[in-house]
Amino acid sequence: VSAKHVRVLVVAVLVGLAAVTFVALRDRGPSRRAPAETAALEELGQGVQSVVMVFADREALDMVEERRDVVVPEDRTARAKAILEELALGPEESGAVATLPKGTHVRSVFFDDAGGVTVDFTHEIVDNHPGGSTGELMTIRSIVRTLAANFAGTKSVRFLVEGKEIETIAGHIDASVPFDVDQYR
Amino acid sequence: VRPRTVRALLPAVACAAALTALPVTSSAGVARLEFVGEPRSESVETMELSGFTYLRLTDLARALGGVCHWNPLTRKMTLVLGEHRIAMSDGNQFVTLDRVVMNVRRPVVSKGGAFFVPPGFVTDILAKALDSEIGLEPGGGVTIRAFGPQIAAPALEDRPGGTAVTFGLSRPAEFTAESRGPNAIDVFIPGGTLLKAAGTFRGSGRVASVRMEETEAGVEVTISIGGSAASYSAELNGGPPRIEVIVDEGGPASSRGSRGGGALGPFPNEAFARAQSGVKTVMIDPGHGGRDTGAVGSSGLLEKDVAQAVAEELADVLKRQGFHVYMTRTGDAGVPVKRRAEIANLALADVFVSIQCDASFSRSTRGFRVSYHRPGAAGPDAGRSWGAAGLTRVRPGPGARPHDELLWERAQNAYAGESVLLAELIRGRVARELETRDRGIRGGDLVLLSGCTMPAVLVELGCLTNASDEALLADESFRKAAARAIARGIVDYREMSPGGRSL
Repeated sequence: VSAKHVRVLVVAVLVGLAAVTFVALRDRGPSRRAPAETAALEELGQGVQSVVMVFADREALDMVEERRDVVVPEDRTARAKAILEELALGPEESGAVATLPKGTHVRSVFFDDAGGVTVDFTHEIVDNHPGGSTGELMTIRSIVRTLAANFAGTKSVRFLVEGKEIETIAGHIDASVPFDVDQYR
Repeated sequence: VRPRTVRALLPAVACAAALTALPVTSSAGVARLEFVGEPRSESVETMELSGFTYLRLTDLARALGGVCHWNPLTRKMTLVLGEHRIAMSDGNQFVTLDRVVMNVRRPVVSKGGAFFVPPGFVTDILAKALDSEIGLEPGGGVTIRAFGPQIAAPALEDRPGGTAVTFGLSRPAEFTAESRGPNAIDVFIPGGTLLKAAGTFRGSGRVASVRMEETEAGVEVTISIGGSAASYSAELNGGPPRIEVIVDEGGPASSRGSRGGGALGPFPNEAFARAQSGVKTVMIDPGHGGRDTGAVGSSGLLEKDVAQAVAEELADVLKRQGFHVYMTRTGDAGVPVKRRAEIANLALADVFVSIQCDASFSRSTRGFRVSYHRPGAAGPDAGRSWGAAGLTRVRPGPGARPHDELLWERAQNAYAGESVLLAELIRGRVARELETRDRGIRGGDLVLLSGCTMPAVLVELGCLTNASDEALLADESFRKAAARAIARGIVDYREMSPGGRSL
């Protein structure tokens, strides 16, 4: 192994470390996927698409839309899962605030034939929720509107947590029945 | 004899049938009801479901002389038993008895078009409707012991202008009051029994004596009036049920007002009596509690603690204003959300006020807000079904009567307008009296309020996720001022309600 090889290796390792540190320190950024991952996903037949994310404004008075180019799978349920995972990461633009609790992931998404979407979240959506009826409504509206904006024909959205029905997310709004898209605009 | 004992002598005869459509093991059977003292006997079909014996509703109705009505529009079954209406829906453990929502702990189920009711339905709802004590035997046997209202000894009180004779009752009851000649008033409580021995009680003021007797038909009371003619009035009062007869000084031997002298109309149920009595009882709900801390401020202030402190302060202020005050929790207890409305319903509260704090994902959100319940489903085709039980929400059509809407999730709908008024009155007071941001009133599909059979609001005093709001919520004087402002809003509401001004 020559000295040149060692230098190249050291530089590569440093660049790698810097990239990892940058990604780790940065809370919000334009894309959270490494280029290699993007390339790998594209090879798997998945393309970059423009999707709509719906977040809350700073005063929690209304919702704001944010358009974002992300790599999403072709399959509808996989795409919905990817979009909601992206939503959970929070907004990129200033003036908007995150609407899903820290650490929330999507376990699965189901579409039925009548415009109903069921989303199964991990427990963080309940356990890490800030609480309050305002916070709860922000979470619901953000998810319902994001799904409605990206999947035409969505009529209602039902929430599950760890595969089970829940009464509420934070103690206020009835989550045991599907949320009507028109109601939670 | 009125107290009648109904005994199921034969336990359930198993006629095993595998009901494959249900996800739990169940088997059918028959329980025989035999009416002791009466020659007839009735059989009730039973069904074992998850270890509980369910009884077939139509059989119970036939045995008890009731009628079942099925409303295909609201998908609701109503059992009419005398003057009582009991409404239920498939898969729903909440049943209304005369508009009061009750939890029978296990859902009512329908099987092959027939409704089967859980044990809790029999022991709680039927017992209340029949004024009976009902025991259940293993295997489906039912023991029903009926009793009428119990009447306590009279209490006499001389007041300016007359003498009041008051009889305490074990429950609201029908009664008649009539004058017999110029010197006696007869009060009759059908089906009633005396709490203590019969006898004649010494009078006071205009009343010479009060004689109480128990007959097979009920309790007969004779109020003898000393001296010459007097007028009187008699009424059933709210609060602790009691009959009050006021004998006036002097005057001609005539009755006062339209209710005096003759037979009074029946008092069909508690909800009716309550509607006539104005806003007297307030249920305060300190939000969250126990392991459920609610929102947490950046300095560690817990929503449940703020809620409790303000709720206790509010209770003190309201008591001084003459309200009966109850709390859904005392101390740091965890109470399930739906249980809170149930507590208020069972207490026959006139107003439900939940005290909470708000929280947001944005630290800049701040201020107080008052919320009321606005149901989630919209439009006539908003029927949504879920779960194996097939519980369906369907909006009642134009022909639906008010009681058709009184399932748990619809209980609050009948009070929607009153709740908005109450929310607005509280918001108005808080906005005027507190130095905080007014975020107005808002409707939402709130689980906490949806089952309340009374005007109900949720007050969020401030946002715990905002630093300046958190400092306010931690401040003793702010908490006291908030409690005072909310109390004034409730007093404003009392003033605007029927019967409010007479208080």
